[in-house]
Amino acid sequence: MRRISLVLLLAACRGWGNLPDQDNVYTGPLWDPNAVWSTPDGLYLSLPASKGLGLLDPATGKLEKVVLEGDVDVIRAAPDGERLAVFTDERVCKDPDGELEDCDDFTDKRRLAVVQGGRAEVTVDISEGWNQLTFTPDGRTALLSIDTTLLDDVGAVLDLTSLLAVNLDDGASATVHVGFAPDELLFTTLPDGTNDRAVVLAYGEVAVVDLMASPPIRTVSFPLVLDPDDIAVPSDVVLTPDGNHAMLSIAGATELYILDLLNPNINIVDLDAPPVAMNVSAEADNTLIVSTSASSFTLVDHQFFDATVIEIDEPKSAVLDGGAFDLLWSPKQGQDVLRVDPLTGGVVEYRLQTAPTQLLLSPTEEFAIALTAQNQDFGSPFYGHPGLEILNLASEDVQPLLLESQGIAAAFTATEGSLHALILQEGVDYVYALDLYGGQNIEIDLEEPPITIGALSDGNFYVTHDDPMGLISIVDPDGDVTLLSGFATTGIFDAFGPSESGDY
Amino acid sequence: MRALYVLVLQSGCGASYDLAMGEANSSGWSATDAGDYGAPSMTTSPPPPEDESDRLRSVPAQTDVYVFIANPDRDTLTRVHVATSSVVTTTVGVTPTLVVTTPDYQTAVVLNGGDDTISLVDAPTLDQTVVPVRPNLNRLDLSPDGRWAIAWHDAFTEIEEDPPEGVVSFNEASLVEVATGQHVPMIVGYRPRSVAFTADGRLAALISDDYVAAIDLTVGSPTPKLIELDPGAIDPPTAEEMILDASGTWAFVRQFGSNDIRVVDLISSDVGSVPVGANPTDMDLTPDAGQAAIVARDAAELWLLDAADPYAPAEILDIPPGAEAGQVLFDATGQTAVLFTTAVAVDRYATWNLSSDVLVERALVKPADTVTLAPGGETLVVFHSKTDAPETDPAFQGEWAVSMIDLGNFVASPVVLPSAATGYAHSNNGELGYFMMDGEMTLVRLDYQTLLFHEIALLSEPEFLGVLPDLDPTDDDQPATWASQVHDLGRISFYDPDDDTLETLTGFELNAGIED
Amino acid sequence: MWTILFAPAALALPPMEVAIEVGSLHNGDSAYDVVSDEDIVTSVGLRGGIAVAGPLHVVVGWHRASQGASVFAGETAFQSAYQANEWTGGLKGVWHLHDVIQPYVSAQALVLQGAFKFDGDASDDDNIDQLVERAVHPGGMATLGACATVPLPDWPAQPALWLEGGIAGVSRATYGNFGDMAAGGFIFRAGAGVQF
Repeated sequence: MRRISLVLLLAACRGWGNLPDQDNVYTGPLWDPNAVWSTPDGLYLSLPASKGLGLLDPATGKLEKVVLEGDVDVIRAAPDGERLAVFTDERVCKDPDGELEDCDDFTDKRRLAVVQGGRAEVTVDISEGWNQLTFTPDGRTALLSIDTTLLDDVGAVLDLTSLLAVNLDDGASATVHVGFAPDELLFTTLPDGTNDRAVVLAYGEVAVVDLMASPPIRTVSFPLVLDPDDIAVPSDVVLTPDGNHAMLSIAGATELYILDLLNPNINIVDLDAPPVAMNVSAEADNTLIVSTSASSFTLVDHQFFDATVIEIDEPKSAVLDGGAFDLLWSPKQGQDVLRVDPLTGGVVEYRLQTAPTQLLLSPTEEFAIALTAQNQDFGSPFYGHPGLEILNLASEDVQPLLLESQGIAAAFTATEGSLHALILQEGVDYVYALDLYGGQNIEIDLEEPPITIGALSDGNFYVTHDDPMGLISIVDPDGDVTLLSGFATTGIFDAFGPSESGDY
Repeated sequence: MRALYVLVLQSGCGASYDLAMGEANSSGWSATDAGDYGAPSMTTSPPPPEDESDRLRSVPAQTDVYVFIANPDRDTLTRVHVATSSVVTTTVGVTPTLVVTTPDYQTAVVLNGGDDTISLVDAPTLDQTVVPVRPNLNRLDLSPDGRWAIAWHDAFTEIEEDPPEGVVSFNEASLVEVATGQHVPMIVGYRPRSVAFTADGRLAALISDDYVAAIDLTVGSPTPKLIELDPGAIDPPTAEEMILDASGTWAFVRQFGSNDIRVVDLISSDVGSVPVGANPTDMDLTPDAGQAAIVARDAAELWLLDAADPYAPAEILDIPPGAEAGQVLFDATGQTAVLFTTAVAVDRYATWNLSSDVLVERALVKPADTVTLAPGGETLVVFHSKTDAPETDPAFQGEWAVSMIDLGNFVASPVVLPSAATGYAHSNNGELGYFMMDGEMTLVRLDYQTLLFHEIALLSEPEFLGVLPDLDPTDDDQPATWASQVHDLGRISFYDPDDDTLETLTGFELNAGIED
Repeated sequence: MWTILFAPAALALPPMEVAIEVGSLHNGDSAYDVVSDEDIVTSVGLRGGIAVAGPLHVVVGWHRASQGASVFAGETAFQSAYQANEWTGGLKGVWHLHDVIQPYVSAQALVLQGAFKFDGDASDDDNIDQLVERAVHPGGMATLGACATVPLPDWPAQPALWLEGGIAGVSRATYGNFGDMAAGGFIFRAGAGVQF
């Protein structure tokens, strides 16, 4: 009897290496290692399976679900790096006493929550469809728009010509007509830091919204074409530092539209080639423009909007703002990275071994790191290998390093007297830590290959891994690694429960 | 012969610009002589056809600081402040075709061909008064004092492809008082050809085929007095050109195919004739307004009639026959005149010293197409035709060309051009001039003192140009020049000759669509 | 009344019983979906009983449930498992109707001692992704059953088969950060043992 009982007990009590496995069950990802936001509160994580948002404390590894009304649909980070905007959906029974499972007459509620400190500070009821959000830099207002590419299905008539302006202090909201398919927004700033106007790019027109009015109203609308049959889709826009002019490029066209926001009128400057990227220099009071169609860049001054063309060896398609300088480069094309002084147009050329896939600027603007693709030049020492090149922006030095695998991400952290960069390589379970001041570079082993990397507010890094139960490595620049694991199972039962948005 | 578009800015005054060849009428604004339609002045042949498409383009006008551009496609008027480059566009009537500015720079007068109205636009504020006028009017002139605007129908500038619709009258004109918007419609005679004003603006006269319509502009509600040129005649010769004497007493009328000048007493309405030489081809008032000068080309004579006493015996001067002159052009100083022809391929011209009445034949590098004098009277500018004379220098054979000629020492500075000139303008200080060419994205600056040319590159082909008035000739600053250019969204450039800089505004047509 | 209902049969009912049981408990809680795609907790255990007064028996039991699954969360997967001890104890009233078939009713306390386990790598006995949370759910059960025996008066014991079904329920309990779960509904037990 005791032997049978023992056998039975042994059969019933299995160890970690021998868990029962009778079924397969399916759910969505418990977390998304690519959807992580670092704020002073901690790391906010998207929890797709439970349609929630969690806040992970890097110190304890504990995940707390942020209490929101409804299921999370879209999450956007505020430019201040401290808040998140979260769109939620909830299906509620019109009968306040009714249960949703038994309800025949229900309504869908959509809300916008601004999350900070692990909770929703402001929650605003909005109508269906709004799924894009832009914060004003001063944090007073959020401007919502509709990105139809993110809509799965449409359950109502949607107005694609308006923005929804939400006052984040009191939750008041108002619709502002700005034109069809509003896309990019810029803001002008008063000396006290308040954003007084929004410049909105729409299809064939540009609208200016007065944010100081209550409710916000459109004050000016600039047409970009005369004939409605003509199409002019804005591709990029910048504001002059004084906020008086918006400079607007049109997809595929060489015209640069200069919109006078103070005394509304339009001037068009013809460039040599269609712009693909623009960057404003406050110090030089001009805008640098690059194009893939010309081996040159153009400096447009902000007083007379005269264009000065400066020839270079290779076309460039991207501009990295370094404050007092700009870095011109092209992803996966060309081997030159150019440091340009927008004041003088002077160019310093950095020649890389291979075309860069990513170019990142250190927070101190002293170094740039280029992650390069696998070299295809048979005669190059880098042939067949990806690389990493450290550009010393104070000089013309480039330090090339051969990587074991394709560099996929990098992050910087700077403290008093130190500057570090961590480099992730695809499929490799260590990060390469660069000490940019000291020059002592080390490999830091990871539990698993990394997915993304970012910086924490305390100077450490976080590295996410593709672990279904949640795995983040907290990496100290000196090489110490702390693992946060299993946090994605927090509230796992909710991932299998009924959805608040009505998905059963 | 190609029509050359003349944009002439008189000293200290606003101007309108229309697209006709020839010299400016010294006593009024924008009047064009009958012989200035681009065809050679022939005794019996009718005027050549105009370039109608350009005639329909809106003609910008200017004040001391603004340039006005009407856009018939958008029913708008754009005002550009030259100094600040600020652009404001306002909606006017339907299809604005012509705009002129008053000499006090306060009002822009716009003729809206699409809805038969005139818009009186306050230049600084753009406030408007809309005045309905008679239908199908296509010409607009202002009295020298800017008090009255006359709109009338010029049958010779109609577009064949877009003829007038409905009941069409060829007799009518609309007189509008600029300050009040008072409209006085009137009959002025069949097919009016031009308008002339006395210098003081007291009198206007319209010449039509068979009548002179004299309008006393000093009364509250002016009415025309129609004076028949050939009373009782069944098929009289049609009038070709008219000038007025300074007092407004006499009108001198040149008729097609007639060797006489009809003299019309505008007060008594009596009409008489004064014979002049064979085939009078041009007529003008001398700068002192003392004489009417008539060029009788076939006779190679210059007939000078006393403007105050037309029937007094005429003074006759012989024109050097080699010049084959058919036109006369006086400089503003009244010291020199130039006689030339644009109908015959001769590389000659003649100068006439008004003090000594000496006429001297002189050489050109090749035949002339258009001739103009710098406002200071010191420099002659000749735009040459492509046609060569028998002895044209090989460097200029078969080429377009332009010459600047110092009338003091007759030193000439000719240059070859890539294409025909299509318009020019002088600065009123007489120091600089500008011209543009067909199909060329260039503005050319003429220095009347050094006789040098300077090319200014534009972003697109210019359509019209002008020079702002020099309000203070004593300073060393040259006034700015503007050139509107071909661009779907509107383009205008401003050139500062002092520092040789060009500023271009593009897209101002969009400003009409700005919702503010 | 009791005498009428439970009139003794020809033979006396053996006072004690032990058996091996299998059982199932309905669990429709969504939390259980982590380990199973069906709403049933199956178990195996032991039961014992002793007559205390006439038809009344005291019964006690223990069941062990062990259910697991491969959880496919998006494109990755991990192992889940639910292991529980079901402790029961209570009274059974037997209607000694016949020497062979004896219907009965039972009312027992039920304590569910559960554990949810998640393992990121089931092939590795020791990895960082091994999480367990435990909870205890008190509850109860009431069943109707029948026992079938083969009377062997000359033997010290006789075989018996039990079959019972009823309702059971346990309270909601929290499994740490995973969430909470309750269980309840139809319960089924079947056993084979001896009476002596």
